[in-house]
Amino acid sequence: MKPTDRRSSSNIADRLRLRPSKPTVASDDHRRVCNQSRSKIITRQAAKTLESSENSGKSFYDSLPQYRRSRRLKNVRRTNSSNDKKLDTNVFESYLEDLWNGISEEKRSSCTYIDCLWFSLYKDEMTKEKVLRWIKRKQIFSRKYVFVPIVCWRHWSLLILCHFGGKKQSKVKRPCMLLLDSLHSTEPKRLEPDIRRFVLDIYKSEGRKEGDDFISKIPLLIPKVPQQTNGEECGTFVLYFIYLFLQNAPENFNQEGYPYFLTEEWFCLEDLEIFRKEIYSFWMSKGITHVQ
Amino acid sequence: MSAVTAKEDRKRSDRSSRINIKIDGCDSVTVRVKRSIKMKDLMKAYTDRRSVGIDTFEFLLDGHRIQGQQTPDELEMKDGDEIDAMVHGHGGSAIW
Repeated sequence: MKPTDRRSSSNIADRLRLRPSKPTVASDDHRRVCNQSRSKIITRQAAKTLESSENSGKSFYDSLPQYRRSRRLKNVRRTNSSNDKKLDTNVFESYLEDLWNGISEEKRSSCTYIDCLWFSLYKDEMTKEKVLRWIKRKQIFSRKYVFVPIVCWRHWSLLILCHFGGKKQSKVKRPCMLLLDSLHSTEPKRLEPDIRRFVLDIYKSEGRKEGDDFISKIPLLIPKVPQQTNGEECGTFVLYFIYLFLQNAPENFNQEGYPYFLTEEWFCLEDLEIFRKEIYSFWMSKGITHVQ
Repeated sequence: MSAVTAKEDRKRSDRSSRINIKIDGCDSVTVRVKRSIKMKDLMKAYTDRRSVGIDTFEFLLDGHRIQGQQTPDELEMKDGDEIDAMVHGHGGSAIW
């Protein structure tokens, strides 16, 4: 099914869906206020509907269409519910930090990652300059691998910058980029223009000598990696990609050896399930909420 | 005399115990807070004022996430420092 088809139909369904009634004190108060202020202007028929719906425990307020904004907020909250497999940036970042603390000192100094919000913030004109300033501190030109988690259009994917400090003449340490995506049907290539701009800006902000021509020719490789089977697990996939890549990454990543271990048989879904449970228990143990 | 200096001292220490923090989001506000305030209180005030859930924003200081339990003192914040309020991103699939 084409993404557009599904989006349009589910969007309409979502918009029409009634808001479930939540018997909290605040919303009850709110509802009462709303009902009071509305009671003067509604028609008799609407009043009847209101009355009958009140009897059944729902009010007129409840049946108002749900707007995009509140749906988004609801989704954020839903992420914290027990059955949801989707990862938000907060859980993702906490887990990645934990994972990072568990690896060897040597790897920690030769690799780095940038915060998962940064890429989307970079795309925003308002915060672009700030992000480039923050990235500067990560010294990515002295690292072998730099992990850039990307959350874009509600989908997680992973960009890995390899040997960015490498010379263009160098055979073993030529810069290249890897884009790992657990949902190839979404055409990961669509991210390429953004990635190219991002990389170019990083080079520029660091005052590197490499020309635009060279930078725009840094290969962007999209290996075929294991694919997700549902619509929820891409965040977990990205974390698992980082976790495994850190363990197996070759000393020098060059295109002769490509795709290395980055194949469809890289890992099996059972292993991923174990990993997912780990994240889940981590999440529970922390009671993930940045503010509680 | 000594009482006066003590009072002045207290005033001075009080003054340095407070800092201005600029919160940059869709709009920017500057708040004056104690150095010992828990950041979560600040975040709560910020989100309450906008009538949104407390988990709507991610607060970043120099790009790094601020934990609710930390205080400006622990974060080594200086007067006039800026923090960014960013909307959470999250995803499961591209198709929604």
